[in-house]
Amino acid sequence: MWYVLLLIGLAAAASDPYKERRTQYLLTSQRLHVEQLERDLHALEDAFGKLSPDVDPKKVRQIKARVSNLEGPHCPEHQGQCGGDVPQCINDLLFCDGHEDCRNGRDENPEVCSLAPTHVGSSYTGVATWTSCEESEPHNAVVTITASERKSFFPARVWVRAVLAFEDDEHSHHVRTFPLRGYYNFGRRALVLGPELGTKPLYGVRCYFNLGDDDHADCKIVAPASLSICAHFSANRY
Amino acid sequence: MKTLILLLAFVAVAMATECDNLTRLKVKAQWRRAYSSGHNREDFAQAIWRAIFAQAPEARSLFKRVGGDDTTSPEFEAHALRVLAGFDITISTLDQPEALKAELDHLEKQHEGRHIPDNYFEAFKTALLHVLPAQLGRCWDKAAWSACFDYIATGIKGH
Repeated sequence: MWYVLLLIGLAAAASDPYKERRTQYLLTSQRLHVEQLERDLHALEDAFGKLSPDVDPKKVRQIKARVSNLEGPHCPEHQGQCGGDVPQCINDLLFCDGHEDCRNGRDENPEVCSLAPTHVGSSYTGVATWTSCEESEPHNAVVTITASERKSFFPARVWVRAVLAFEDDEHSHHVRTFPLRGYYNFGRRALVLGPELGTKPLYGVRCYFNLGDDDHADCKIVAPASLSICAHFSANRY
Repeated sequence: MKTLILLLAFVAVAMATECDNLTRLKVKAQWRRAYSSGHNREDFAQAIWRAIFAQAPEARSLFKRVGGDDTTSPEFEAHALRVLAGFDITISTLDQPEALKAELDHLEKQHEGRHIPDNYFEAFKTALLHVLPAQLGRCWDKAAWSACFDYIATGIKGH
């Protein structure tokens, strides 16, 4: 009996129109409150968006590379840096040959042994400034890899063929080309090119991929015998 | 027609590099640059031997006595340096035929009876002819090295 009475009472309370409006009122004001918070948040986001964005990780890599180029310790001739926390230099003939020679094994690291710089068709271009050898205003120079081969029994080098081309005269657009051959050295991250067999030994090229990635290099056009520098250019991969 | 063929054959012979006096001097000078010293010499030797064993893995068995199973073992490092030292003597005396003959005879005696197949000498040559330009980086003459290496190898093999 008591239960029935209680149920009737509850039903009466729920259907009370005044109470329902009161609930609606509370809900609406809560919603308005949330909307206000949202507006505040958007204003904050806008203000945040106006601040300068984070630096591109690529840029950070490049700056780190430039700092470490200045820091050293530079390895002696014929040697490359193992990197990591404890510096160690090992001979560049032992990089990427399938045998770990660095204490930290970095001489076989896939990043160190990246073949990207030697991919056929890779072109490295920049504005060459001549300091000797040619009487020429600064102009574009291009080094293009035309062939590459890695011997299974001596994987520490990738043998490449390439072409060096630069504009001789900016009015006539006459371009001179020089067939080259040489190798890529993983340990020193160096592309080393000299005159192709049977061609006049006029120029060689040295490119050091020491700017933190496989797409930028510091290149020099050199005399092939003395390696004295004729021109230099900051190369970008094309 | 016959004269033309004869002429062509003559040109071909003239173009193939032989280990003549000037070639020997060239090889000698390039070896001086490549042979280097200290740690770099050990690593130069190491690279050559890794390339040899990569081509002819069965050849390792000949070097059991000198730690050939691990090319970085001190015993094998010593052996590799000994080999290069012998090779250095032959290259250095390329322009002194009598001294060269004496060294080649000496090396022939050390190698006889070991039953070294010719293809092991070929593997040595191929290894040397790849590590050398990698070490030199510029200005090297493969044809000159090929000719003079063959001359030395023939002296050691005795045939």
